Formats: sequence, C-alpha cells, structure tokens
Amino acid sequence: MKACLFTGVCIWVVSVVAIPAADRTFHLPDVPYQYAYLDLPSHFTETRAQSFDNTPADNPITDAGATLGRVLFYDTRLSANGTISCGSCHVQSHAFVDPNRFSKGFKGGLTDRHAMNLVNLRFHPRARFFWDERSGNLEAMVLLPVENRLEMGQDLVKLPGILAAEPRYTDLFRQAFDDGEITNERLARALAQFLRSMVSYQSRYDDGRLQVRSSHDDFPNFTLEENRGKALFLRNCALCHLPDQDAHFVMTEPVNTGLDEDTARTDGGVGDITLKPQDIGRFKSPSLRNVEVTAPYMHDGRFATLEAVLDHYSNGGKSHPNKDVRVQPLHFTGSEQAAIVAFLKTLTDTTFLSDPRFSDPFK
Amino acid sequence: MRRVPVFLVMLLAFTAMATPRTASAQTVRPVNPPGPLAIFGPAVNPAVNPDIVIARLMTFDRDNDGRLVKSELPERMQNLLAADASGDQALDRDEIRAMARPAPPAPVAATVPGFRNGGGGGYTFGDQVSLSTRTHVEDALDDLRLMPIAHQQALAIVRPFMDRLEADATAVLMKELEGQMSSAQLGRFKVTFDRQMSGSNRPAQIITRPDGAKVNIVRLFVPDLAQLINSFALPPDQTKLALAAFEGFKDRIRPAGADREALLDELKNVLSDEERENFGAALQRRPLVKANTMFAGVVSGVMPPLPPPPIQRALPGDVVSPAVILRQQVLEP
Repeated sequence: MKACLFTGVCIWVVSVVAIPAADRTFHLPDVPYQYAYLDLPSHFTETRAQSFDNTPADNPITDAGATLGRVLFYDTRLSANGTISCGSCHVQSHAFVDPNRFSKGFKGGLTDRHAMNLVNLRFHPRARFFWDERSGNLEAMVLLPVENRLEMGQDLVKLPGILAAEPRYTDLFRQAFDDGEITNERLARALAQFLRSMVSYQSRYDDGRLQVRSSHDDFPNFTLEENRGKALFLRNCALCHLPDQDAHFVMTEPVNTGLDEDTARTDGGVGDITLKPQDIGRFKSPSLRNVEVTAPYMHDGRFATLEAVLDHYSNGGKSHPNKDVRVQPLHFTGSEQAAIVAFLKTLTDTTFLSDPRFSDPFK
Repeated sequence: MRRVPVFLVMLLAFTAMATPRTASAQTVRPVNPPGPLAIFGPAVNPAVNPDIVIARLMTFDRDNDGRLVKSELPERMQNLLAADASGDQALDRDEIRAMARPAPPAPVAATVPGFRNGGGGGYTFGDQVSLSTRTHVEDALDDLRLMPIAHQQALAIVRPFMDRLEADATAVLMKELEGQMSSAQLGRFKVTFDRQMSGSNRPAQIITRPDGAKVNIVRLFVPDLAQLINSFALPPDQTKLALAAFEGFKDRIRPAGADREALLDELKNVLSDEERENFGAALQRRPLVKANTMFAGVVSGVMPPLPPPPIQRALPGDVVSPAVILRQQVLEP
C-alpha cells in the first residue's frame, strides 16, 4: 500500500515538474548567429590541416541550416516521450559529453558507452563516427541516436509530422532549404551542419601557437610547466594525437590502446561492426580539445581523471593481440604527468564552452 | 637550437627515383629482402583469427541455440543480420565466419616508382633507423626546461659523456669486425659508418616528384650498415658475428642500464633529484618515428648533381635499404 502511494506521488511529481515537449518554446536572436564563416587561425588553414575537413560539397554549413540544427539539437520532441534531446546527454559546458559515465535514455535505461564529445567533428578526416565508427558520415550519424530504442526511441516515420505541429519549424526549414517541407533527410543535414559548426579554436594553445613559428617553440603565454608538458606531449603523444599538423588533436584511425586483455567478452569496438579480427578492441578517439572537461574518459568512461588516463599510457596498456605498436610503456614520472596534464588543460576553450551559438535555445 | 624531429630520407634513393632515367643516369637494382629493420604498421595479427570473432559474437547467444537473432544483438550491431545468407532471420557460425574471413591484401598502388602507395604508413623506433642517439638524449634534456645556465652545464656533461660512450662502442665494434672482414671491407664499412655517425639531419628541401607533385622533405641520410655487412657476402658465420657486433654497438651507444646510471650520477651537481628522475625516465623511452615511405634498391656509381643544400653523395656500392625512410609532405598534390 505504502509502495503504491509512493509510486503515485512520484508520478504526480514528475508530471507536474516535467514540461511537455510541445509547451517548450525556443528563442532565437533577432539577428541570426553566424555559423558559416569562421575566422580560423593560420594553423587551421594550412594545407594539411584543411585536408581534415569532412564537410561534404552537398551540405555546406549555412547560417540558416545550423540555426535549424541548433533548435533540433535541443528539442525534446526528437525523443519518443518528449523527455530528452541530443543536448540532454551532450552538455555544452562539458564540451558536449555527458559528465556521467553512462547516459540515461528516454525511459531511464542506461547506455553502455560514454557519450562522445562533439568537438570539431568537422575535422575528423575519416568522417566515421561513434566509438566503433559504424557511421560513415555526420548526416547518417545524427539520426541513429534519435531512433535508438534505448536513447531517444523516436519513430522516424512520425517525426516530421511531430515537428510540423510547431509552426515555427516550417519557417526554419524554409530558411534553410528553400521550402518549408520537413523531412528526415533535411533534419539530418541541419543537425550535421550544426555539429560541424561547433569548432573550438580559441584555447590558450591556439593563442600561443599564433605567437611562435613552430609548435615546438615554447609558447610565450604558457607557464614553464605547460611548455614542458607540451614538449612531452609532442615527443610522446603527438604521433597519434596530433598527426602531421598543429590544429586538430584527433587521431586519423581507430586504435586498440590495450584497454582490455580479453578478446571475447569485452567491448569489441570497431571489430564488432566490421567483424574483422584485427579490428577487435579498436575504438575511435575523440578530439583532445577541451579534454579537461570531458571526463570520464575512454569509450566506457572507465577513467575518471586525466591522471588515470596517463597512468594507463605510462604503463603501456594491457596485452592484446591488436594493441597498437605505438602504445609503449612511457614510464612518466609524477612531475612529467603533471606537466602533460597542465598542457592538456591549455586546450580548454572557454569561449567555445559558453558560446551562445551552441547553447540551448529553449532556455 | 632545437633539432628537427627525425624525419627522414635516404636521399640518394629518392634522387635516383626522382631523376628521369637517361642513358647516363645510374641504374637502381633491387636488393635482397629487407634487413633487420622492423617497420610496424597495420597488419593482420595471426593471433587474432575469425574464430575469435565467432566466439565474441556467440557471447550474445543468450539461449545457446548457436544462432543469433536480432533481439540478442545490441542495437548497434543489428545491421550484421544483413549477412543472413540462409534467410532464417538469424546468424549462425558459418555466416559469421564468412563475414570475418580476412580480406585478401589490397594491391599496393605505387603512384610513384619506389613509393609505397604514394607514401604509406608504418612506424619504427627512431634508434633503428638512425644512430643519432644524441638527438634523443639532448631532446630529453631540452624537455626538462632548465634555466639556460643549468642547461649549458648539463650539456657540458652530457656531450662528453656521449662522446666517450660512442668512442668506446666504436672501438669495440671495429675490433670485433676486424676479425670478420678484410681490411678493404672494413675500410668500406668505416666510410659509411663515419658518415652516419657524423649526423645527417638535412634542411628541408622541395623536390618535384616524377608525378609532378612537389614534396617537402627533411632528410636523414641513413645507410643501413647491416645491409652493407650482408652485401660483403662473408661466410655465414662471419656475417652473423659481424651483424651481432653491429647490433651490440647500437645497444652500447644508448645510455641505458649502468651507463644511464653513470650519466645521471655525473649530473648530480647540476640537476635536482626530480630533474634527474625525469631525465632518466626519458632516456628509457624509445621514440617512434613515422615511416611514411620506403624504398629499396642499390645505388651504384655516382649520383647526378643535386640542387643545394650540398648533400653527401652515395658511393659506388652503397646499399640503400628499407632503412631509407622518407617523410614527405605533399604541398601541391
């Protein structure tokens, strides 16, 4: 009896507190935000760095398209019961990761991987997404969580009609795509434009990089420890995380970093999608930009701190037949580890983390 | 002055490729299989076979009926059911095996003769392609970010230490080789050896490849001394001993073990305990370098003139082996 009463009260509280999706309204600025044009620093625009850009010719970023994408990103109508949006698990102040190890789906179920960050997705040259790289481009990627039965559970057949109930969407789709027709393909393109517009390029690292000839030079805006950490990073980590350019702290291929020894029962990552034995245990790596605020780390959020991540690489990871040869024991000392962490924190871009262009328009 | 990270080329092999073949151009002949240099890269590990994939997937077989139906697979893997050849809406072991079978190796499309796929991948340890251990040691010192005076004091200890280490190791090597090869062969070995030990970092230079692309290369002239020993065609036992002597030399010029401790001890009055600890940790690491492009061949005769900066030329009989590594940056593909 008591249990029933308690459950009833809980249901009442939830129904009173939760704002129905249809009643939420979004607010856009009178002068639309700029998304299409970015005044990127020179280390982003040099030839090699530019070659990382995965923007397809048939879906360039437009201000109207990204604006629509922003509204969709934060609209809880994209979930089956109107309770969660993409932004529920991809939190701006955390560089669009979920600060929780696993994310709650629309019915309260938990995912089995950590939500990846959405920083600089535009500059992932393979243009494959998710930890297991199962999605071949951003346009395809954005709808998968929407229809995932655990995450947002929405019926894509019904979704255009649900959105059409909000008259302002017709205007937004018209501004983005010439006419007001709402389709899932357009919805995906708008979301992809919004995600590609999320470029972090104003960190202290970027300020420093602009003041010197080479990334190997000491940055005048860094402390001694940060410069030491940068030197150690460039010497020991950059081969994977900063390949052949100075802008994108991304890896160009998924890697097995020796997280698990077990090849049979642990998450197989890319191998579970390709079924290639050599892909078992390989995972995509997100950008290290803003890594200070994207804890917990790794595909399953097993490491709570950057120090724990560095401990892993210091020890060289566990034995695995697919472990990448680049993962060697690095034997970092305590002060080396502290210096590298200090350097990694210079990749935090506070402007990006609070940029109103990427904020929730429903608030 | 900061040293350029090890990016690298066997200049002469490249030039041989980059120069249009004419009647006067030098011939490049293929050589025997690569020497001991290990180039790591994406490859199928024999320890990981399709059976492991089958075992993995069958962990999802909750009812243990040997078949995987859609509801048993995580949602992200349900697309695998597209491989259901029998049409029973499930995957069995044979269907999984068919998907997991390794694909035949893709043909390597050499866009430029001698270049692997126009610049392939792979990694190797820097000390396997270069004898410039000093670079690694001095870079480790740089990374400590010492005050200039302390840095100079430390260098004043490190450099003579490395001189002694190299001189001792060289003396041992030459003595060991004396017993294995003729004086002419030893002389030939010494010429190449001295050239490598003298350090070979070259400034970057833009070269036009045969396909018209402009390539910005940083050179490190690293003839593979092991290959040179092989080319002397000594009796097998002597070749083995000579190669062992060279491998021993490569180990001895790295400040490891007791040498490392001795160096750290000499630095006691210059570096703090923490700095020595960090320096010692860095000395233990073997930095990896990227092997973007490889080429194998023998250069015979004198190479044609090259544009500045002046570059050492290969001598007749020089061996150009997979130790030749070129880092290329295509500026105008």
